[in-house]
This record gives sequence, structure tokens and C-alpha cells, in this order.
Amino acid sequence: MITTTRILLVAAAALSLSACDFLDQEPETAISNEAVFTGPSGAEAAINGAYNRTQAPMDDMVIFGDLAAETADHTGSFPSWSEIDLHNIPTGNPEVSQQYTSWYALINQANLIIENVGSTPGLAEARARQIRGEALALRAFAHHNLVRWFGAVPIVLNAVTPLDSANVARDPVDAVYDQILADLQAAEGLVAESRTVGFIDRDVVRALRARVLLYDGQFEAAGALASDLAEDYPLVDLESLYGSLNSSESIWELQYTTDDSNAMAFFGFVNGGRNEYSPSATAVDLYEAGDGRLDWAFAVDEETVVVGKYFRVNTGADHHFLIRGAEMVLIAAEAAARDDDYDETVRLVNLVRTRAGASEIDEDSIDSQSEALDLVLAERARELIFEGHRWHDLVRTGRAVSTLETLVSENFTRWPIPQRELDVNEALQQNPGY
Amino acid sequence: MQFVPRSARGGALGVVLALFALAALPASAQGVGTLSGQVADADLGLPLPGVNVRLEGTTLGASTDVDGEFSINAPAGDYVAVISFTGFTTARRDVTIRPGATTDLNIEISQDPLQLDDVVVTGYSNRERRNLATSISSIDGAQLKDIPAASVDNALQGRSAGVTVLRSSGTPGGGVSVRIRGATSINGSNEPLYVVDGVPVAEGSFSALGVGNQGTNALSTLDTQDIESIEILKDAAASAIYGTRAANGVVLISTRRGRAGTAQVNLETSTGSTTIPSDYEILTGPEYIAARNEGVRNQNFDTQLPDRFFNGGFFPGTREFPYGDPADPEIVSSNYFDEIRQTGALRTYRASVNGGNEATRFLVSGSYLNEEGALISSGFKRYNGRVNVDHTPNEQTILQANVSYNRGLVDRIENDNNIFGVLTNALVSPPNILTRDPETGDLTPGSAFAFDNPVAAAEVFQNSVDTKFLGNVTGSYEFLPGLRARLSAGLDRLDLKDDQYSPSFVRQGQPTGAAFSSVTVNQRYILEGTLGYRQLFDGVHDLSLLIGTSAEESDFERTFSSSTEFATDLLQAVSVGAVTDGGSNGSESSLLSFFGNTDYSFGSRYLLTLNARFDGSSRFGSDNRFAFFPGLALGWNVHEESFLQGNDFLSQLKIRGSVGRTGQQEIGNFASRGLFGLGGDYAGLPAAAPSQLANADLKWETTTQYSGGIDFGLFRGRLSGVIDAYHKATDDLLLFRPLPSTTGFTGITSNIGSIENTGIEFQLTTLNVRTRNFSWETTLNISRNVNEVTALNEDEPIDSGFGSRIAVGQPLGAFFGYATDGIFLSEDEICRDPTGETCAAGTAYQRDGTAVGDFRFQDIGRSCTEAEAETAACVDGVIFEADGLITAADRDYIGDPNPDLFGGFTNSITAFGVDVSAFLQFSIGNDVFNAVRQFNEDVGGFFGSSAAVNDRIRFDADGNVTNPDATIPRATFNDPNDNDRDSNFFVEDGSYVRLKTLTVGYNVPSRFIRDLGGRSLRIYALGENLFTSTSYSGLDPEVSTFDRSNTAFGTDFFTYPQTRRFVVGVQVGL
Repeated sequence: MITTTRILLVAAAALSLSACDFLDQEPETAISNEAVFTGPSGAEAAINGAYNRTQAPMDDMVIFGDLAAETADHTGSFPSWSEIDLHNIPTGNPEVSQQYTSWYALINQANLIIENVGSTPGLAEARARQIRGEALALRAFAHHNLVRWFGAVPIVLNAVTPLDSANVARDPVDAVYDQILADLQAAEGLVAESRTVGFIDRDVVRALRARVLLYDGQFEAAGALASDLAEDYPLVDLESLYGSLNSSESIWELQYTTDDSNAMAFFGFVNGGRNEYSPSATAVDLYEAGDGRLDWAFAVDEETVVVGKYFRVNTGADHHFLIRGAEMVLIAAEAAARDDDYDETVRLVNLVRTRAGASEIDEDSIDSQSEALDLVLAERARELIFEGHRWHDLVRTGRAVSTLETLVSENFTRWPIPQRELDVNEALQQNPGY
Repeated sequence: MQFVPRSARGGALGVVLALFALAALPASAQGVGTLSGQVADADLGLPLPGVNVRLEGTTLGASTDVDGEFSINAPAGDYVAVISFTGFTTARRDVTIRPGATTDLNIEISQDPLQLDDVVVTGYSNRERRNLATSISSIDGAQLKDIPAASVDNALQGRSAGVTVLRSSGTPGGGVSVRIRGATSINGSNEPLYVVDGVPVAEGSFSALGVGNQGTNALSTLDTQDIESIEILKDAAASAIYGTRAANGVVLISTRRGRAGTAQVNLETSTGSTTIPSDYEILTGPEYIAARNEGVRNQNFDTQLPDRFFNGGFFPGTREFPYGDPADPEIVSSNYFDEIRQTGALRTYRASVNGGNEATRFLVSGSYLNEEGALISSGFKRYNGRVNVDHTPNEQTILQANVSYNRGLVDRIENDNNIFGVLTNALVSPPNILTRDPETGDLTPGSAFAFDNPVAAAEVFQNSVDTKFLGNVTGSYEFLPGLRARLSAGLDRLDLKDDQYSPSFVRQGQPTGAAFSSVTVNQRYILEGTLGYRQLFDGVHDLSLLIGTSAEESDFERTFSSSTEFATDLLQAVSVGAVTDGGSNGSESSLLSFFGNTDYSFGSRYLLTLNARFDGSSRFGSDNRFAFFPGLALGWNVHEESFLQGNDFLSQLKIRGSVGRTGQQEIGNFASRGLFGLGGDYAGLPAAAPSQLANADLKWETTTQYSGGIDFGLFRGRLSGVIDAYHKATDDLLLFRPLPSTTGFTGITSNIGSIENTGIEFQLTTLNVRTRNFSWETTLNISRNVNEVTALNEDEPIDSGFGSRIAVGQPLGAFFGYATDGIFLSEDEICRDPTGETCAAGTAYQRDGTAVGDFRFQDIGRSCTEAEAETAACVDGVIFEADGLITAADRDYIGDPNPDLFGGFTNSITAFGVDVSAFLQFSIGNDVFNAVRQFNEDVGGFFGSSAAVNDRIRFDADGNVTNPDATIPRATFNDPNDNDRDSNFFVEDGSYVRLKTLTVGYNVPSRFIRDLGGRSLRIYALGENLFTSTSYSGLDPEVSTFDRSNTAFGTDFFTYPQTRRFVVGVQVGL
């Protein structure tokens, strides 16, 4: 009897002694915050994570840039897409909220890297500088996408916000642009001279800066940078550009693979997809017969005209063409137009047109700035269709209301600040009209 | 007294080994005699089969055969024979057994409808019903017999007061939600803890395939025919012994065990059919075309749009007939619903053997079930095997081993909220397309829009094979009279293999075929030790004490892969295609517990139960590792008092009261931790990103329950019942506290909210007639539960599902939306001022495109101004007063999916060997959000194929309404008034009364079969869901498109309806 009692006591004690260990479990696919910046591989994973976060909002960024601009129509069943298509956006639209949330998630990750990468044990200083530069550029990219959709937005430069002071207010559009340009300036001095096309190197930062300068109205600076880059990233034939991946025209192409796929082809195609959006009739009308871009911008799937630039419906491994040579040529063309150098505008526009097999524009046909700008914007619409530019081009040039049939008020050129953000952050004010 | 051998030292395992060693000790040899006789029903004089006759203080016993006869061989001596039988008063007789002689014992026992002597499993111990102070319902396994293909959770429906069971759909092998005394959680689980023979088992869906929304059901692999009894621990005093997992009650399942005596063989086979009884009418092809043309015309698009929109520009047809001429004889009409329905065949085979001797008893059972679904390509197959062994080598030692191995194969089809769904497309697809080419017989591609051909959609192969191993080994040893130590080790292992293949010709997946495959392992190990003591002091103090500890670990592992680019649809394995994705994930949790139980009764009059448990869980934050859960119950058996003795009117009156606290730890395994997620990648390189903010204070959800009730029996138990009332308050609900996205996170998981449940339960059993050849028994249970959310984060409502909203002051699941009081019949009723300021009284500006024939939504509220925001009148940003504008502020609560009353009503009649049992189940006052109508009555739009739209507002050539009594708005191309917004128009009364089962059986008298070598023969026929009375217009009112959602139940959205079954079967006892 005594022996048995002892055995039970020992068993109970054994159970109790191991209690602390027994209740400690670790997740398999996540690590504690503190464990990330403890070595080079963690720091590399963190910057890759930032690119990974760039992927998440890009599909919507691109699709809505055309859906809102009437180059694409909503043909599926998501009410939230229809609202964006028709510029009748309730403040609770989940896609709008998703854009806001996703870009700030990227900003948060970039800030974490900016703050911590320099003190990562074992990480070479040169590499740490590069990573920091890439994070700065991604922060700028995210802020720019936000300011394009929403107008004034909070500038966030700290990774860890104490939860009791998380209510930050919107900063004016000018201040946001100043911060973006400052980040890009800083990034340019830090990033690698050259990386593969999926990652940020000096040229990506410069190209981003050319784009942001254009939006900010600094046309001369934008044009100078863009001209330089256009020379380094000459136009390639359309087959190389769209038919294969990572062509030499691409300055920055967001990478996707079969096991890290996007939904571009899924949203576009009928068979294997859900044909949630399609090119509009007016989109097809933008092109003259024989324009080679017709074959790449559009495709026919089960008797339906679908977006053709993203066609890998089996794998979802289409890339996003974030910045490429043709955009640089057209930025330079626009800068020339703003500088009243219409011959240069036409020369540059024709560069893009001849590559596509479209007819050349006659230099003499343009003799005012507004005609020159019309020409550039129309060519941007054709060249960059389904790459998410059209809506922002119309908005930044003040042409949205006059061009778009379904847009009734200048107010609706700014998306609403998502209702959930207003609900949790008293410091935010809604855009007018919502 | 034997001592444990020295060699057995070495901790827990040693004790088990020691117990087995003890088992081998021989019983001492003496002269042996026999006790034999017959047991009969005292009232009817009929022999009673299956009665347990046992010699007290020994392991010797037998059960009576079909003629009520038994025989026990025992060493000579004086004994007390205990004769017990479920539902009868236990009898005790002094007997003397002489060597080599036979002692006769013929005895009659009386029926006890109150079942006060029945032993109720209370968790780690058990107690006679008369001595229970807590609230525990018992379901006898016999009630589950005959019912085919029922999972145990489904079988609880309508059987016990206070237990709501909602079967999400008719999906074979699909999900069932069970609510014991209401729902307590928003983000955790609301399902009870299921414990099978002492092993807590996994419930819910583990499938990696998101088929529409309907999951699989881990409990569906258990064979209900193996169940001896089910106990439901309802109040917190009873369930506190299960601590952090008991907030939703506990369901204790005991499986059948072998009985000593000649081996008994039971064979059963049944066959039947399953069908969908309800119908759904869709438009004919011409009607559909006409409605769409009318939609274009009603918005003047036919006259206003430029030419390029017609003849293929946007509309396929002309200005006059944008979608074609309905009179065109080429237009076909399909009835997809008929094409996807079938009469599914049901087959079961079952065999079991049980027997053994005084020392060792066994039960071996096996079964096979095959159920074809009532919708094409769906079905469920199940294989079960079980071995239960009991070994009692001497008076002190009990050894038990239970092993079951079950395999469930579920074929599901896409339905619900899936544009590629089978039922979805059958109901919403344009009806003017044939599913098969009339010449070739090939499947057609469906319409040009996103719809798929419903018959083709069913060709997507989705198979889940659920293999479950459940077993435990238990040893116990009585050291001193009444002092028993018990050690148990158990394992619940679920291996699930999911396979999916989307052929090239369906819209889902990829044009070259797509395969997905995953393997999931979910297992729980448990090691448990208890020390229990029970003794009767001075003949009146009945005390039992128990302490115990248990350690439990759960782990979950999944690997998956997918591929595409298949050369042919004939070969569908992932490895045949080009692999596109692969990965794995896994997670663990552990629970360490210490618990204790005290039951005391004073002369069976005054009862006390005290339960307590300490639970430590790996899921809780580092600052909140251990939780304590106590429970106390008191009871008074008034009828045991001397002043009520000898009273024929009041046979039983027990008054009970209890209080206790329980918890909910289904909060996710690592919810408290600050984490960086790995597992993503970019350009083939590993990527990490912060995934979760830390909350070191995170802890369980806590439920405090007060419960009281009375058990009564009148007229010697001819009429008996239970009335219970309870109040449950759940606090520290786990909610996601939203944060500004600028923090990089959308929120942090915190213990914030509160929910209350208050209810009353009533159960009544009457023995209406009881004679030798005819008896009739009735059982009725009715319950009411009122659920209310009492606190949320900043009391902000949370939207869920389609029209459901979680809000303070509302029950979980409440529907939220606009209210319409009719359709505009003239232009005067419509306000055209977008500011709303000049709207005539009673009118309000709705939308720019609002026109005659659209719904008039009610103007009941407006947004608060900034100055009003902090005042009491402003509720969730809204003040309820008309402002001439229809805005989001005009939404209100428009329905409640929780029933006002629910329960079951059973009538069992036995006459001349024929038994008939009719079981009605009902749910009264529950609303259903019919989202099918929201889509399918959108006249003129892409959807809108329901035949109901024939009753739409129509106009004459002058634009006047010709049919003002129509219930459906005008046809529109794009619904400018948003008639199909969430509104009370789509909320319907889902009350129903249903003949859940009707069984007719005949037990062939033993005299006919004995000569043939048989023991018993039963033939039966059964119908399930034979009849449903409801005003609900959809396919079935018992529906949940979001499967087992805590917060968005009672929504119907192309959900597989409940099926009707007919079964005939035969059971043979040998």
C-alpha cells in the first residue's frame, strides 16, 4: 500500500514538475518579433516580406485604376467592384478599405526595417544600407499609392505606435509628396547600383522619382530623369514585353510564381476565372486597326473579350509591370509638352507608337499645349492600359469629371477614407462629398 | 490485499502495468453452485430480457435472455443479488448458493418511470439519478436505434430540453451546430465538449476544402448504434469539472459494453432512399428573356443608349428585344433543379458480438454505411469497427480498453456562396440554356456570363476521407473499500485526406484542369489519473470524493499541394499535372489540469455537489496561464421527507439550485503572442512579415451560470417532468479590437465583450396507457432561450455574414437592414429632392433612379450630428427620426434567427409486438434571411430566375401600373433603387414543425424464431423528415449557409436542403 501511494505521488510530481515546459508551445510558421532582426537571414526575410506585402494590394491597385477610368467594366458579381466602377462608393466599401490597410501594412513593415536593420548582428554594413534604402523606396511607393487614391493621408514614419497614441491625423497632400520625395532621395544614396528586375535598385528609385515628380507638377525634373532612364531601358518588341517575363524594358516588375501567384488572370478570364471585370467597349475603340497592342491588351475567352495582359490563368504567375521604359518615354513626352516643345512630344509619342505598329503622328498636327497633352494622355491610355494608370492620369490632370460618364463630381475623384478608420480614429476627417 | 510488485515502480506507466499484473492473479478455488431464475415485470407479468443480475461485492453477474431467464455460477456462500434494469426500480435479495446445487430466484421488478436508480455518468465519476443535485440530461442509446446515417450531434436534436441543434444543410456527412443553453461566444466555439468513454474528442470540420461553405463533421464518423447512453451536463455546477472547455456544456458519450454470458450476435441491414422533398420553380426560357427585355425597357435604355450597345455591342439583341424575342421558338427552357436532384440509395450493414465471462467481457462491432446524396455527385460512406473489452480479474481491479477505428468518405459539391456552385447555378442560371448538347450529349459550357452549367459543376471531384482512431486504456484498483485509483491514457487521432479535381470543362479551377490534395492529421493525447472514494457512513451520509489530474496535448499538421496543366481529365492525381503550389502548416496546444469533485447526500434527502478545476493552457497569455473554475449545487429530495412518505400522488419532488463558473479556451493556439509570420515568399525567397500584435493578458472567456430547477413525479411516476431555469453571463469575450490601419495592424485580440443567456426548460413524460398488449408513452420538451449581447468593444456593432449584425442589446445573429412597407405605385409617392428637405410628409428621397414599381423603404433615422454624437439619443451614430432621406441610418434590426421556443414531442406506442414511434421536432419564432430571393428575385438583372418574379409590377403602354397587388418590384436592368438591398422583404418566419422520424417496428415473438436458432428478430420501417409544416418559402427552414457560424446562422443562400429518407431494415439476434 505504501509503495503504491509513493508511485502515485511520484507520478503526480512528475506531471507537476514538467508543467511549465508542458505548457510552452511554439508556432511552426511564425516567430516572435524579437527573433527577426537577430541575423542576416532574418533581415533578408524581412525585406522580402516587404516585397511580399507589396504584392497584396497590387491586383486591386491595377484593376481599379482601369475600372474607375471606364477602360474596364465590372462584369462580375462583387457589389464592391460595381461601386468603384460607377463611382458610387459607400464609405464601407471593403476594397477601398483593403487598399488603405494594405499600403499601411507595407509602410509599417518598411518602418520596422528602417529602424532595425542597421543593428542586426552579423549583417554586413553595406548590405544593411541597401536594405534600408529598399525599405525607404517601398515606403515612398506606398505613400504615393495612398495619396493617389485618397488625397491627404497620414504620413507614418514609425514602426511601433503606442496603442494609446495611434490616432494620427491626415497630412496635407503637399506634405505627403515632400515626404515621398525625401524618402526617394535618401533611398537613391543607399540602394544597390543594380539588382535583378524584381527588386529595387538605383534605377527603380530614380524611375519612381520621375513618376512622383510628374504627379507633383515638377515636370522639368521629371522629364530629365525619365529621358535618362528611357535610354537605359529601350523599348522592346511587344512579344518580349508581354509574352515573356522580365523583359529588358522593365525597370521594376513585381514577381509572381506558381506558388506565389496573383489573381489577375483569374479575375479577367472566363474559363478558369470569374471574369469579374472586362475591357470596356470604349477601351477597344482607343486603338486603330493594326495597332499591335490590340493583340496584347485584349484576348477572347469563351466568346468574351477579356483583359489580355494577364493571361496565365493556369498558374496566376503573371507579373505586375510596375515601371517600364515606355512610361519613362511618355513622362518625357509630357514634360516636353509642358515645356511647349511639341516636336519632341510627338517624337517621343511616335517612339511608343511605332514599336506597336501604329501609325505615326504628324508633327504638324499639334500646335497647342492642350493638344500635345491630349496626345500624350491618349497614348498613355493606350500604352499603359490595364496597368492601373488611367484613373490617376485623369485625376492628376483634372480631366476625370469631363472624361468619365459615370463620374458626377470632382469630390469623387478622391476615394472616401474607409469608415472603419474613421470609427477607430477620431483624428481622421472624411473627404468632402461622402 | 495484494501489493504491487516491486518491478512495477516507475511512475505512471508502472501503475498501469501493475494493474494488469494484478489482473492475472487467480481467484481462490471453492465449491461452486448456481443461481438461476426468471425476472418479470411486476405490473404486466411479462418476462424482461436484458436485466442485469449481479452478486454484490463480486464481479459475478449475468443478464437475462429473451425469456427473462438468467443463470450465474458462483462459489458457495451468502450473497446479496442486485437486480437492476434501466427504467425499473433496483431490487435486492439475500441468496445462499450451495456447492453443486441450483438456487432458484424468480423475481418481479417494478417499473420506475422516474429512473431514480439509474446511474448517471457525471464526468470522472457517476451517481444515481436520485442523488444528483446538478442539471444533467440523459439520452438512452435505445432512442437512437434505427436512425440511419445520423451523427451523434444530429441525434441530439429535439431529444433534450435546452439543447438546440441546427443542421446546417442536407450535405451528407455535413456540419451540425449544437447549443446547450444558448451561445456564449462570438469568436470562440459555441459547441459543447464531447467526451467519448472519457476521451475528449475533436469536433467540427478539419477539411482543407472550402466547398461553398459546408464543412465536414468529425463526429459523423462515430456510429450512433455503438452508443449506450449520452449524458448532457447543462449547468455549470456539473460542467465545471471540465473547466476551460465547459462553457457550452459537456456531452458525455458512453459506448456499449460486453455482458457476461453466452456470446450474443446482432446482425442488421437496412436499405432506403433519400430525396429532396421541396421544389423550386424557375422561369421558362421565354419568361426569363421577356423579364430581361422588360428590365431594359423600364429604364428606357432601349431608346436612350447609342446604337453601338445593340446587336452584340452590349446587348445581344435589337432595341426592341435586347435579349432576343421571347416568341422565338428556338428558346429552350431548362429545369436545372430536376437535373441535379436524384433519389439517393441508402444501405447499411452492421454486425456486433458481445459476451464473455465474469472476468472478461467484450464487444466487437462493425458497420458499413453508404448514403448517396439527394443531389448528384454528393454522398457519404462510412466504415466502423469497435472493440471494447472489460477485464475484472478480482474484486479490486477493473481494466478497460476501448478502441474504435472509423473511416468516413464524404463527397461534397460546391453550393452556397459560390458562383460555381451546383445548386447555386441550378437556381440562378439563366434557364434558356440546355445542360447538354441535344445532339452530342456533351455538357454545354453554361452561359456567357460567370455562371457555370450546374450539371458540369457537379463534375468537380471533392472527396474527403476522414479516418478516426479513438481509443483508451483504463485501469483502476480499489485499495480500500470505497477507495479507487484510476489511470487512463487515450488517443483521438484524425487523419484526413482531401482531394479535389476541377476538370478542364468547368469554370472553376483552370482550363487545363486543377488538382488539390492535402493531408491533415489532428491528434490529441490524454493521460489522466484520479483517486476516488465513496462510503456510506452511519447509513445516511453518502459521501464521495474525487481528485485527479490530467495532461492533454493536441497537435495539428497539414501538408498540401496543387497542380494544373493536365493532359487529360481522366487522370486526376496532383502528380499528373504540373505542381503549382505546396506547403505545410501545423500547430500545437497543451492543457494541464487538476480537478476535484465532492458529492454528498444525507439520507438521499439533502444533496450537495462541489466541483472544481484548475486548467493551465498553452493558449493563454504568459500573464494568465492558469484558470480556476468552481461549481456548487444543492438539492433537496422533498419526497424523501417523512411527511410525504406513503403518498401515491407525489412520487418525486426534488428542488435543485446551482452556481458555477466555466471557461472557453477555443481562442486559437497562439493568439496571445506577438508574431512575425514566415511561410510567405517573394521571387522564391523566404519572406517574413509581422502578423499579430502581442497581448500577454489574453485569457479564456468566462461564463458564470446560475441554475435552478425541480424534478417531479406524480401518480407513481405515470406523469413526470423537469423544469429548469438558468441565467448564463459570459464575460471577457475574445474580440478583435480594431486599431487604425496606420499602426500596420487592423486590430488586436482582446478580452472585451459580454453575452447573456437566460432560459427556461420544460420536460414532461407521461405513461398514458400501460397494459399487457398496449402501451403508449409521450415525452414533450419545450425550451426557451433568450440570448443578448451585453458588451462589445466600445459597444460598436460588428457586421457578419450577409445581413447579420452583432450589436449590444441584440441576440447573436440578429438581422439588420432596411424596412420596406410596399411598392411605389405612383410618381406622387416619390420624393425627387436629393437633400430631402422638400419631401412631402411620409415621402423620402431614395435614389436618383428610383421609379414607380420600386420598393418604398422606410425613413426611420438619420445620422447624428457631431454635437449629438455624445448624447444618449444617438445610438451607433443614428437618431431615430425621419429626415426625408433613405440612408444607411434607416437600417434597423429586422429579424432574429434564434427561436422563441424549440423542442421535441415523441409518442411511442406498442401493441401486440408492433411498436410505433413518432418524433416531432419543432422550432417556433426563428427568422430566416432568404438571400436566395435577394438574388433570384432581382427581376431583369443577371440573376432573377425565380418563378416568383412573374408576380412583378408591370406597366401598360402609358407607364401605368397594371397590377398594383403584385409583390415583386418592377423589372430593371441594373436595379437603380437597390431593391435587393438587405431588407425585411427577405426576412421570413422560419418556424417549423417537422415529423423528424416515424418508426414502425415489429418484434417477432421468440417462440417463432427460437426453433430456428435465433434469439430475436425485428423488422422495421422508418421515415425521416416525412412532413414539415412551415410558411418558409425556401427549400428548407433549417438552414445555415455559413455552416456552423456563431454569428451568421439562419441565412439561406443556395444551401443543400434537408433530405427525406425512407428506410426498411431487419435486425437479427443470434
